[in-house]
Amino acid sequence: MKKADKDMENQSNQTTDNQAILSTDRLSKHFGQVKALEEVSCRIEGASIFGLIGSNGAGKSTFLRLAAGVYKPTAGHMLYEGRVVYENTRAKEDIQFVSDQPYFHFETLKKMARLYSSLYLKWDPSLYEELLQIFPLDENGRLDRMSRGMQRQAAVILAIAANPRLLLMDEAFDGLDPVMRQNLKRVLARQVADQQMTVLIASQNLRELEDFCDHVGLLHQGGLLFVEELDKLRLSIVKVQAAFAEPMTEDMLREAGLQVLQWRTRGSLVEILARNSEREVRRVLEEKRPLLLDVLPLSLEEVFIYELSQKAYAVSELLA
Amino acid sequence: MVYPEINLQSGVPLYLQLKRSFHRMAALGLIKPHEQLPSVRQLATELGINPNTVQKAYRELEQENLIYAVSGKGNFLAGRGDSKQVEKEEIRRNFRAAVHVAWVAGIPNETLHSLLDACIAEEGEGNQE
Repeated sequence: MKKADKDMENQSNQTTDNQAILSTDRLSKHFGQVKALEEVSCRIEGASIFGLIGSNGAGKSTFLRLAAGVYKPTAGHMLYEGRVVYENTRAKEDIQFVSDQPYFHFETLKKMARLYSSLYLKWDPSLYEELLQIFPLDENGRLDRMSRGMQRQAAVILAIAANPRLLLMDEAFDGLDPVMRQNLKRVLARQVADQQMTVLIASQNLRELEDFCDHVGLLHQGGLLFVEELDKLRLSIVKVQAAFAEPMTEDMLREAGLQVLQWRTRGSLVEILARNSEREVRRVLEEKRPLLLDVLPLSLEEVFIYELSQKAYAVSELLA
Repeated sequence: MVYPEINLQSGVPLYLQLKRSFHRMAALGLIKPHEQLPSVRQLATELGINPNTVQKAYRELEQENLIYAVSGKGNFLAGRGDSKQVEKEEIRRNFRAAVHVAWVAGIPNETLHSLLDACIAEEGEGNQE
């Protein structure tokens, strides 16, 4: 096939695979006997903020390194806008990767910034200056003498100022104080809104990502357990506390249409967890004329635990 | 420009919090009909939240006719949307709970009506002071 034809074909692939900036198809990466990733298929839409959750060794960093083109897949594909990432110059130009263990070619941030400005066409000097205000690092300080946390901040500054279309971050919010974290979120939010930048953040800590991501994927032992829209996940399960004048059983509520996940009684109070919308739960329970009916707040972590316990995984293993 | 309030700890999805906040601000007159709302970018950057979350809230508010979008210009508060819908729901729920307590206690309907009248009268006196 001639090059021009190949480009045409790639072009049409791109349109059929619309909106997915990154997609994988039965992606596997093995290191000798170790299966770091096994047959992972997913799509990440452009201008979204995607959270990759999993414990140590779940395969998060491997996934990010494959997305960054650092690793070559053992099997399957890692595609950036429909094209293989590995050895793809266009992807290299568009994708920035903040590793959990950054490595720098030069000794100071200032020299690194100069290197980046020559390497990346979209390097934004004013954004760089702005980021230096958020992360108060000494531009002329020796990077190799800085703490791991500060090195990571330096890597975040460089990556964002390169104005990437896809930003990959490994544990990026870890070790930031609340003010820095909020400021980083504000910069990221603006870049997503203005530049249609896509962000893929990996973390062990669900709480760190839950108020910022629109989608989350859960990795466990190299497999992707699920990908879901966060708001959907949050609204899919409702927890209520109720008391009834007449004796009430789990079965009676099931018959009335509640998908009861958990039923706990404490004296005359019942705590119910149901896979229904809040409206449905209220409708069913109000018909039973409750003496008391309170909808209780449910953390995303609790939602994850119930989703996963259905899949029979030990949750303590999954969430650090 | 008025910004909505959000609480990251509440466990309520942020887009719902944004929606409720805009409904409330509209009902209280903090935003006037045809006034421009903050852009997705402004709101996301100001609050440090995902622009897609803001987008989702605006999309649903538009479907509920609280706001309207002018392409290339932004989002504006509708002239006479039913901005009190959220409050009505909440009031109905509170009434419902009160009626239920009365029902359990065996209080007759006439007493309930006079209790409501008394509440309205009290509220009126309170506001005149």
